[in-house]
Formats: sequence, structure tokens, C-alpha cells
Amino acid sequence: MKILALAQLTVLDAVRKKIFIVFLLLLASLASSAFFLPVVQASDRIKLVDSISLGWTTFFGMLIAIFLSAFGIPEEVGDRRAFTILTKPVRSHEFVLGKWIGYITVIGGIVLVTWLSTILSIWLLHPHDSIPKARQMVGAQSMDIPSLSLPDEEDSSDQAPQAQSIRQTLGKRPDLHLLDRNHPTAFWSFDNLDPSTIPEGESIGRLKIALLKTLRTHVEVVRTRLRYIHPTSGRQSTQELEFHTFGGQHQQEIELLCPRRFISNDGRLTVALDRLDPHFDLLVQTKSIGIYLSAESHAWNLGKAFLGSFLMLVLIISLTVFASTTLSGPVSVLVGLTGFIIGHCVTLMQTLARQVRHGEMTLERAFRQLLEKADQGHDHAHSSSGHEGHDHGTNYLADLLDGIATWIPDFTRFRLTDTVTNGVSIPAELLWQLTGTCVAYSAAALLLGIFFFAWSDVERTEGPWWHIIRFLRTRRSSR
Amino acid sequence: MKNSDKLAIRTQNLQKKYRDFWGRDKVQALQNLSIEVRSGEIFGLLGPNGSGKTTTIKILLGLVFPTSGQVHVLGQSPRSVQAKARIGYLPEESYLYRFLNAEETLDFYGRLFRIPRRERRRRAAELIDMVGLAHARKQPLREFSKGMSRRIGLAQALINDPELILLDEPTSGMDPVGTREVKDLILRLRDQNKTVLLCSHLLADVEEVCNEIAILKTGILEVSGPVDELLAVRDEIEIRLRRTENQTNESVRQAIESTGHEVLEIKHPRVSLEELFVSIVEKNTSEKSEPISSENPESKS
Ligand SMILES: Nc1ncnc2c1ncn2[C@@H]1O[C@H](COP(=O)(O)OP(=O)(O)OP(=O)(O)O)[C@@H](O)[C@H]1O
Ligand SMILES: [Mg+2]
Repeated sequence: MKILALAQLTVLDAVRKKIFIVFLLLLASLASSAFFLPVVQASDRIKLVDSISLGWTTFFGMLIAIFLSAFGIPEEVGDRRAFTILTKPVRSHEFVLGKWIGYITVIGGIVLVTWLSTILSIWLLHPHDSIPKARQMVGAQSMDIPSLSLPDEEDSSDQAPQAQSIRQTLGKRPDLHLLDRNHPTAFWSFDNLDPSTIPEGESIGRLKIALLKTLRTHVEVVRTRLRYIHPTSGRQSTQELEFHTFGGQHQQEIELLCPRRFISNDGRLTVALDRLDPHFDLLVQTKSIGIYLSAESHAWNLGKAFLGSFLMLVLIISLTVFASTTLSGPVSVLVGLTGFIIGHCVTLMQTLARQVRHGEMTLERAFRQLLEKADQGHDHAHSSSGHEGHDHGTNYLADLLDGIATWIPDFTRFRLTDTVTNGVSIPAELLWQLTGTCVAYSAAALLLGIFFFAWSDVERTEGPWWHIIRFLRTRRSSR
Repeated sequence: MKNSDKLAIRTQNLQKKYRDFWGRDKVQALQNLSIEVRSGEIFGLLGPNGSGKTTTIKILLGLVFPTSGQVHVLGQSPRSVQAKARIGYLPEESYLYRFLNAEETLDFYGRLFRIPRRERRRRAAELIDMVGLAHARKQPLREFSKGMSRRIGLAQALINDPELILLDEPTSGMDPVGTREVKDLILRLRDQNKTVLLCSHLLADVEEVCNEIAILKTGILEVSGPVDELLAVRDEIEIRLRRTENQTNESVRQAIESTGHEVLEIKHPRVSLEELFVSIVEKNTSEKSEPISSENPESKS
């Protein structure tokens, strides 16, 4: 009840500080962007509204969360309002937790209201259209690319340079496969499909491939073919595809139009993709094809995405509250913002680490080649020791980056806008994972914050924590 | 009577050094302070500005940790929640939430003591009346004058019906009527056998309500003891008479001097300015329709 009273006070403070005005501006701009956008297709407009509202909630929510929680505790300690509270039978952890609960309530309210108003505006915009449902996707169990030997019909020297470089990088991505002249067909097989959950008469799933130009030609329409194969009878249904291309490499996404009868009674299906155009290779993965399973209302799926954003904001609040228990308001704002940015850089750091590692490999190779060319037969010991040192440095950097990346929660995982706009249902497991991450990191941050707060007095100059600082200082000065 | 033997506050060799962030000493605020306050006592803590009165109170409340020495408040550590539940504190300045109104403030602090809602409501209403803020029940604290803030601060300190009340300059910023009321309140608290520790610069007030005092100077305890003992002028005596003629005065003087004692002075006693002010203001509020000048018949022409 004490914590609740403190949380209520925090919410009331935010309300009476007119925090919500900022938020109302957000809603207003959201509504105007939804209503005054040139009318495109209903589904496109819904996508747009979804991504705008999610993106802005995350951004504004982040700003409100950081500024609210960074200044709360330092302000109260600074102007000594915390004194009056702490002389009541309130423990330090109750004070900090009360604040924290207050902040997440405010942010939760904002996220909830934005979600509801997004649904409302979509409903107002398209009262008669049926809003496409979000579907769960299941990937293929396996992919098979049998090789086929064909007589040479193309001159390999005429290959486009991009194609060559992509072929090189393929070596580092074992999950990617190329449908080329020698391997023109890929087979995906699915098990355990439940035919009753597969929609009849509409798209049953989605294919995502990359086209790769192999010749210096100006082909603009690329033809390929999908075949749906009944696994027991071998009956086939084909779907011809035409892609319009303007560049060398191209991502394409298409809906799978497979009649339901091609799924066997025991829930198996085979899908084949044929490369028909000699000017283009196709880049595929096992997870290139997904089949839709159960459907879910768009509003609910959008709600899950908002929940993801909320969980991320909770993480940021926890981090900022932790900082604000010992640091001043502006510094805590910096900590919060830095957390937000670093949290979004995890993938970048991993990529960077990979690049450092691989970049170093090619560098090393180039170095060696250079040496071999320049002085063949000369002593190698010297040169090899030379690049070993280099070797270590870059590896450490990569390890460091990887190490940081594994310890920092990846905020991009909390951003589910793309999933929603693609009409894919957000899996419950993902939400549980995100909740787990959020709870674990928030708990750690709060525990540390409470520890620092309780371990020093309100004037911030005495207490066990300061004993440690002083101990270190006196030890240094006595040396 | 057994109660009065118990110590409400006990400090032993209390030291406090304020330090900067890096732990370097800045100010020695208290040195070897040992005080004892018995239950049921009204204890006055006096001293010039910066002598360490507020620091002492903050240590007693566990807000500030002492650098060394021991503190017991109501027999417990000042950081214990059990002790805090039985303490009321009025800070030097009212550090309250300016966006709350008077009622909300008291309700909020009441919740921190887990006082049930109905009880909280009742006590809040009672205290608001007691500190004379009945007209400002719903006014946010941001709009309060300094004296009004002191009053709500005082109400807030009493919300839990505390056994030990620490008042840091309770009358600063209050009008004389308010000051009078605060003093009456303290005396009432004494009748209820509560312990009060009072800091003030207004010596007359301290003299009036306290039965024990201690005087601090730059963090060192200079004097402490019962007021009556400390203030008694042992080698003089006072005689007060009903108004007499000048001749009678003279004969009294002669009569006394004939016994071999020296008479120091004979004069009209004066009321204190406070008594005068209070009598005027209270009279005026009881006869609201009349202007202030009516107090003085000569100037009314
Ligand atoms: N937070 C602080 N940091 C550093 N020094 C402080 C701090 N608080 C108080 N002091 C110092 O401690 C000494 C005692 O201050 P304290 O507030 O206890 O005085 P006081 O007796 O209450 O004075 P006043 O009558 O003006 O209220 C002063 O010298 C003051 O400068
Ligand atoms: Mg003071």
C-alpha cells in the first residue's frame, strides 16, 4: 500500500505536469497523418497507420519515459521533498519501486491509449472493409537442391561483377543457396500441417527470394515457376511467376496460391521453385517459404506489437531510474538515451564483429599473396610473425564487440512493426522471451539502484557505498 | 511516572563531518554531541545559524548518517521503520508536493503510515481545522503562503499521532497568532505526555514551552539542563503589587531598605508585544465589521 501510494503520487505528478499534452500532440499528428494521407489501397493505408503509430509511440514514449524518470528522484532529493517521505516509515526500496511503478503506469497508459486510438482510427477509415488478419507462419522443415548437369550454354567470363561478389560472400553464409544453371530447382517439404487451419481459395503462405543477375543483359521481366506437389500421389499444380526487375539484385515476395487438396491428409506438402530465366539466378533459404497457420485479428496482433514497445520502454525506465538513484537528472537522461541507442546497435555490433573477423581474413590473405609475389622463397618467419600481432588486435576487438552484444538486450527485437505490417502474427513465445529479458534486466537495474540509494544518506556523502569510495581514495593517496 | 524515566532520544559522542563527493571533509557540523531527552519532555535545541541543530535532527531521523557516535531514538536505530512510525517531523522548510492540495497531502502521508482510509479522513479534517487551514482545504500547496505551508507541514507531522515530535523552527514565517497556536499546541502535546524536540531562534517561545534546553555552538554542546534552573537569577527576588500611589512606593522601598536589602528598581510591568498583538488581532477578528482604527478612540474623528 505504501508503494502504491508512492506510485499514485508519481502518476499524479506526471498528470499535473501536463506530460500528456506532449502525448496528445502525438495522437493528433497520428490522426492527421492517417486521415489526410492520399488515399491508397486500404491495406497499404492500414500498414502505414500501423507503422506510424508504433514508431511514434516508441519514439515519444522513449522521450517521455527518459525525461520523466531521470528527473524524478534527483529532483525530490535535491529539493528535499524526499526527506519528508523518508522520515515516514518508508524504506528506500519502497521509495524507488514506488517511483518506478508510477513511471511504467504512465507509459503503459500512453501505450494503451495509442493502441486503442490506432484501432479506432483504422476502423473509422475503413468501416466496411474487412481488415486483413494476421497469420502465424510456419517454415519448411527441410530444403533440397538436387544438382543437375547440363551442357554449358553460358560463357562464365560474361558474368556480371555483382553476381561474382555475391558468389564470394555466399561462402560465408551457409544458410543461403543459389539456384543456378547446375541447380535449377529447390524443393521445400512441410510436415505436420493441419489442413483445417489452411485457408481455402486464398494465399496459403509466402515466398521470399532474391534475384541475382548473371549476365550483362537488360531483361526486365524474369520468369520463374512454383510447383505444389502432393507428397503421396505426386500430383502437381503450378503457379507461374513474373518479376519485374530494374536492378541487378532484387528482393521479391509473393503469395503462395496453392489449392488445399495438394496437402496430404497427414499434413505434408512439397513446394518446388524452378529457375527458368538463364539471365538470373535465385537466392533461397530454408526459411524462404512460410505457410500461414492460424489467423488472428489485426487489432490483437497490433496490440502485441505495442506490448513489445512497452516492454522496451520499461527496460529504458529501469535503466534511467537506476542511474537517477545516484546521478543527477541530466546525466541520467544521457544514460537513458545512450541505453536506447546502444540497445539498437546490438545487431550492428555483431555485424561489425563479423566484419572485423572476416575482413581480417581477406586482409591476411591479401598480405600473404603480396609477400609471395614480391619475394618468393625469402624467409617467411618474419612476415608471419608480423601479421600475427595484427591478428590478435583485431580478434580482441571482435571479441569485445561480440561480448558487449551478448550482454546487452537487443532492442530491435522489441520492435515488431515489420511483423505487423507484413500481416504475420507475432508468436506468443517471442513475447514471453521479450518479457523475460525485460524482467531480468529491469530487476537487475532496480536492485542496483535500490542498493545505491539505500546505501548512502540523503546528503549523498555518507554510508557504506561512500566508505568504499573513500577507502579507495585514501589507499591511492597513501601510496 | 515510569514513562518519564525512559529516554526518547539518546545520543553519545555524535560526530558529523559533511564531505564532498570525493570524501574530502568540508564541514565539521557536530562534535561529540551527547544529549538525552526523557519521554514527556519538551526539549529546546538552541544555537546560532549553522550550529548544527538541523543536522542533529536529520541524524535523529536517519536522513543523515553520523560519521561516528551512537544514536537511539525511542530505543531503536533511527533508520528503523518501527521507530519512524512513532515519530512526527516538521522540516526546516516545508518540503511538500506542491501539486497536491491540503487534504490530498495529509491523505498521502497518512497512507505511508498504513492508516485506514476512514481514520485518515477523520484525522486529516481534524488536523486541517487545528492548524487553521479550513478555508484552504482544496487549495494546491503551490498557492500557499509561507505561513500556510508551515501550518500544513505541522499537520503533516502529526498525522500519525506520534509519540516523539521533532519540530525544526516551527514558528518561522508564522504570524503571532499562529505562533501562539503552535505554542499552545506544544503545551497540549506535553499534557498528552508526548515528547517534543524543538529548534527555534525565538528564545521567548522556547522559554515559554520548554522544560529542558541545550545550546549548541559550532557543533559543540555548550549548556544543557532544565530551563528553570538555567534561567533562575539566584541572587535577586521579584515582588509585584497592585497599582499604588508614588508615596506608597517610596514607603515600600524604605520598609525594605530598612531591613538591610537593596531595591534595584520599581516600575510598571509591561505586557509583551506578542500579548498586545494577539489581543488586538483576536479582538478584530471577533468584531469583523469594524475597521482597525476603531481600536483607538482618539484617532477616530
Ligand atoms: N548538505 C550539507 N553539506 C555540507 N555542509 C552542510 C550540509 N548541511 C549543513 N551543512 C553545514 O553544517 C553546519 C550545520 O548546519 P545546520 O543546518 O545543522 O545548522 P542549523 O543549526 O540548523 O542552522 P540554522 O539556524 O541556520 O538553521 C553548517 O556549517 C552547514 O554549512
Ligand atoms: Mg536549521
